Amino acid sequence: AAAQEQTSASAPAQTGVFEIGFRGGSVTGDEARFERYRDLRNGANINLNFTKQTDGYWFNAEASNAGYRDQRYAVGYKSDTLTFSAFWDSIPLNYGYNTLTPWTGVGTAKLTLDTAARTAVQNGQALGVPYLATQLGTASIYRGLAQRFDLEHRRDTLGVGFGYSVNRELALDIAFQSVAKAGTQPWGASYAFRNANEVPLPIDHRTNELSVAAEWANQKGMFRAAWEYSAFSNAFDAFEWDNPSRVTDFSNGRTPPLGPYDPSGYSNGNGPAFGRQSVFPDSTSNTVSFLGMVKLPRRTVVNGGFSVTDMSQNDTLIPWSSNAVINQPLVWAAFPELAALERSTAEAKVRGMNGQVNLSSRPTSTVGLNLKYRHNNHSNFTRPFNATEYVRFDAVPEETGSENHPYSIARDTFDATASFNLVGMTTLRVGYGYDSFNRTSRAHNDMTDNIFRVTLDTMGNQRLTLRAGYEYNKRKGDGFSVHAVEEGGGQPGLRYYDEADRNRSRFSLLATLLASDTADITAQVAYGQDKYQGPGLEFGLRDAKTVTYNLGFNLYPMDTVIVGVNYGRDTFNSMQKSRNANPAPDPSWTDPNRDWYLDNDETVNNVDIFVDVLKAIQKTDLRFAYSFSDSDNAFLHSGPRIDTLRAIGQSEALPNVTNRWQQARIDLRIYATDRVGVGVEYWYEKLDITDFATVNLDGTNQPRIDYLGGLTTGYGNRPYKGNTFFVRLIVTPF
Amino acid sequence: STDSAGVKAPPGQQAEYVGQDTCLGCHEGKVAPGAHARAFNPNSPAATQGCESCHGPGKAHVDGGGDATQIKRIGRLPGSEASELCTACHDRRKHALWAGSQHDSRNVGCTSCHSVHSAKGATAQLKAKSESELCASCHRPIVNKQNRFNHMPVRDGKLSCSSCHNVHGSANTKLLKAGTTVDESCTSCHQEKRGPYLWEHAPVSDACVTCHDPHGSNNDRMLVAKQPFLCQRCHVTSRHPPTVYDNYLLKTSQNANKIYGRSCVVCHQLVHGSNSPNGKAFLR
Repeated sequence: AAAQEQTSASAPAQTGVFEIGFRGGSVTGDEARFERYRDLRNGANINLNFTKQTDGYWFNAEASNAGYRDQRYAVGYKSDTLTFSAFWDSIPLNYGYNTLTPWTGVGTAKLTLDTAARTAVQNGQALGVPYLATQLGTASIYRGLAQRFDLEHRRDTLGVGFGYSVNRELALDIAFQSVAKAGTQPWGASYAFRNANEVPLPIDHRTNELSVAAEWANQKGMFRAAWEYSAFSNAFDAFEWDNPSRVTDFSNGRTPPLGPYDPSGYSNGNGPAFGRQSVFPDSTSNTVSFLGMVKLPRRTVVNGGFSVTDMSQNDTLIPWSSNAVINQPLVWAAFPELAALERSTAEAKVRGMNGQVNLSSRPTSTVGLNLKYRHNNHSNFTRPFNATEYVRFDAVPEETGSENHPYSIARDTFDATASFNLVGMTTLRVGYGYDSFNRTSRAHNDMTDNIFRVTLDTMGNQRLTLRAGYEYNKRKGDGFSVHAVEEGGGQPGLRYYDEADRNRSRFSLLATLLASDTADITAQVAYGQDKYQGPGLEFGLRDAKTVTYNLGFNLYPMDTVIVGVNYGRDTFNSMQKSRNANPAPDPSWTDPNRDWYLDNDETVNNVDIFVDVLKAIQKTDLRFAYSFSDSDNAFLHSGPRIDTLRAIGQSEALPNVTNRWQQARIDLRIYATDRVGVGVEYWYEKLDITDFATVNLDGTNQPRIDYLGGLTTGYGNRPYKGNTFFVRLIVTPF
Repeated sequence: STDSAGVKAPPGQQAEYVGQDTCLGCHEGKVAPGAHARAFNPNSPAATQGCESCHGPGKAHVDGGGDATQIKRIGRLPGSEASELCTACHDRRKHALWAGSQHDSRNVGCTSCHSVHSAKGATAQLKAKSESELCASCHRPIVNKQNRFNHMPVRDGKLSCSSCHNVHGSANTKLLKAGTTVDESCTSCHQEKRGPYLWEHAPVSDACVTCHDPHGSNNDRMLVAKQPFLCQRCHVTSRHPPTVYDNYLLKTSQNANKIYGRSCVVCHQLVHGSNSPNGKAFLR
C-alpha cells in the first residue's frame, strides 16, 4: 500500500549498526577507581544493534561491550498481541586493585591469619595492630604477610518479560528477573577501640523476582491488578575472621565480673581468637497492588492505587559469641540470658500498606485544581528480642543492652494546589501540603509538616520560559521522649535531624531564553535552607544550607553543528554542635566548656561542554565532550572545647578534602560509503584527590594497611589518569 | 473515507478525515517514526487515523489551503493541552498516574520532553540525546551530581534517571518508580539491605536519603556528609562519638581509626541492620 510504502521510505524496515574493533589504553594511579563501574581492559570492542520492523512485528537485538564485565545484551519483540523482552546486564563495582590483606581465604566466609604471626603478637614478640604513634615507625608483622587482591564485585541481571493483549482493552504481563551479586566489598571487622580492622567481605547472593499483572483500559479509564514476589538468598549464613591480636581466646582465670574474660577487652583487644558476624539475611517480599484511573467530564481525572506488601525475614540467628571463654557455665551463672538464645530465628516481619487518590481538574481554561491524599503505613511486627545481656565484640559480656526496636511509621499526606492561568501561557500556582508522620520507638512520636508553596511558570513568549518556585515547610514534632534520647547515652538536648523541629525554605528560578534561532541561554538559581530549632534543641545538626547557580548556552550555527556549555557552582554549609563528655554523673556531661561546633563548608564547580559536528564535513561525524567537577570541602571546628585543646597543643585543624575530576572524549567517524565507516575514539580522564581519610605509605600513593588502631585493606581515595583509544569498523548493512 | 493503509475513520466523522496519504502529499516525509508507525499494533496511529489520530480531522485544514488554524499543532499547545491529546492513548501502565503528577501540575507536558517527529534521543523519542541531558534542562543541579567523586553508574551508561524515577507519575514520593517509600525504592536494587532486621537503625527504616545522596556526592558511599561528622550529627552520646576528631587525633591516637578508612563503620559495620543477637550497636 502507498501509505506503507511511504512509511517504509522514511523508516527502513531493517536498521542496524555493527561496531567491531579494538580498544587499548593506559592507566596510572588508582586503576580500580578509574574503572569503577566499567571494564576498560585492552581487547576487542564489539557493539551491535539491529532492528527489524514488518507489517506484522517489530524486533530488536543489541549487544554492548560484549565479552567484558560490563557487557549488556537485550532482545525485544512486539506484534499485535504479543510482546517479549529479555536482557542480560553486568555492572561491576571496582574498589581496589592495589588492595592488600593479610587474611587468607578471600571470597569465603572464613578469613584466617597466619597462626605463627598471631602467636608472636599475642606473646608480645611482634607488632600486630599499631595503636601508639611511637609504633608507626615499625611495620606490623601483617604488613609483610599481606597479599594483593582485587577488591571488587559484579552484579549480573537477567530479565525476561512477556505481554499478551487479549484484545484492545485487556492486557496480561508476566516478568521474571534474577539478580546475582558476587565478589567482595570492604567491610569492618573489629574487636576493640584499638583493634578496628577492614577485610574483604565475601558476597554471593541472588534475588529472584516474579511479577504478574492484568490491565484493562478503554477511553474512559483503566484498572490494573498486579502481584510481585521477591526472594533474596545469601550463600553465606555468617562471617568469621581471625583476631590479629590473639591466637587464643583471652582468659585471666578469674570469675565474673572480673573474668575469665578481660572486662576491658572491648577497649584493648583482649578478646576472642576469632569473631563472628551476622550477614545479609535471606528475605522475601510479597506485594499485591491495584491501580485505577477514571476520566471524568470537564477535563477531570481521578487516579489512585492501593497496595499491600508483606516483608519477612527468618534467618537463623548466630550464637551470642564465638568466644569459648564466654560460652561456659561459669559466665552463664552471672549472665543467665547468655546461656541460650531466646529464639533461634529472627522472626522479623513488616507489613507495608499504601493507598492514594489524586484528583486533577482543569474545568476551565483559567483555573485548575489538584488534590492528593496518600496514606502509607510501615508496620513492623518483629517480635521483641531481649538483649539486655549481650556480648560486645565477642570479648565482654555486659548488661547494658536492651530490647530491639522495631520501627513502625504511618504517614498521611494531603496536598492541594490551585492553578490560575494568567495572561498568555503564564500560570500561577498556590499550594498547601500537610504531611503527618506517626512513629514508634523514636524521640518524637509524631511529626507534622505544614507546607506552603507558590510557583509561577510562563511560556507566554515563545522566546522565554520562566519557572520560579518558593516553598516554606514548617516541621513540628510532638510527643517528645527524652528517655528515647537518653536510653542510648544521648545528651538530653540532642534532637535527631530527621525528626527535629525545623523551618525549611526553598527557592528556585529557571530561565531559558531563545536568544535567536541559533542560540539559547539557560540560567538556574536554587537556594535551600534547613534551620533546626524547637524547645530544648541544643545538640545535633543546627543548620544546613545549599546555594546553586548554573549558567549554560547552546549554539546551533547550522543544522549540522551544535555547541553546548554549562557552568555550575554549588555551595553547601552546615553547622552541628556536640559536647565532648563522659556519661553522667561525670561532671563533663553537663559542662558547657566541653561544647564544640563543626562548620562544614563545601564548594563545587561543574563544567560540561559538548560540540557535535554531524555531517558538516562530508561523510564525517565528530563529537567532542568535556566534563569537569571539583570539590573543596572544609571542616572547621570551634567552641570552648576546641579552645582548651588548642591551648595544650592537642587540637589541629583537619586539612580540606579536595578533588578535581575531568574527562574529555572525542569521537570521530568517517564513512567511506553509506554503509561502511571507520571510527576512532579517544577518552582522557583524570582525578586529583586529597583526603585525610586515605592512609598511604610515606611519600607514595600506595596503601599503608597498618595504621593507628587498625589493619585495613588500603582501600581509599587516590588519584588516577587514564587514556583509552578505540578503533572501530562501523557497518550499517541496511 | 478509507486511506490506502485501510484505516477507517469513526462512523459519523469519516467526512472530516482526509487520510494520511493526503497529509503526506504536502508534508512529505513527516510520517511519525517508531512506535506510532507500527500498524500491526491496533492502538497505534498507523492502525487508526494516521496523522489525524493526533492532529485531528484534516478536512478543514485541507479545504482552507493548509490553514494552520484548522489543525492541531501539538507543539504550539500549552503543555497540559498537548498532554491531553497524548494521554488519550498513553493512559495506562507507567502513564496511568500522569494526571496531577509533579510534571503535569507544573505544565511540563509530553511535548516538553518528547518529539514524535524530531526526536534526538535513541529511545522514547526524547528531545535530547540522552535522558541525563533532557532532565538537565530543568534539573541541572541534580544532574551535575553525577560528575561527583561518588556517583551511581549514570555517567557510565549503566543507569539512567528513569532507572529510579517514573517521570510520568508514581505511587511513591519523588516520582520513584519502585515501592511506596524511599527505602523500598532503594532496596528494589539493594535487596540485601531491606531486611527486615532483628535490629534496625532508625533512619534506615525511615529513609535512606537521611544519610545518602543517591544523585552523587563527594563523600564516600554517596553520604550527605563525611564520616565521622555525619554520624556525629545524631550521635551526641558519650565517650567516643562526641570526641573531637581532628588532625591531632589522626596523627597521634588509636582514635584515628574513627577518622581514616571506614571511619565509624569500621566497627559499626552493620549500620543498615543486624541479625546478630548482639546487634544493638551494629557491631556484629
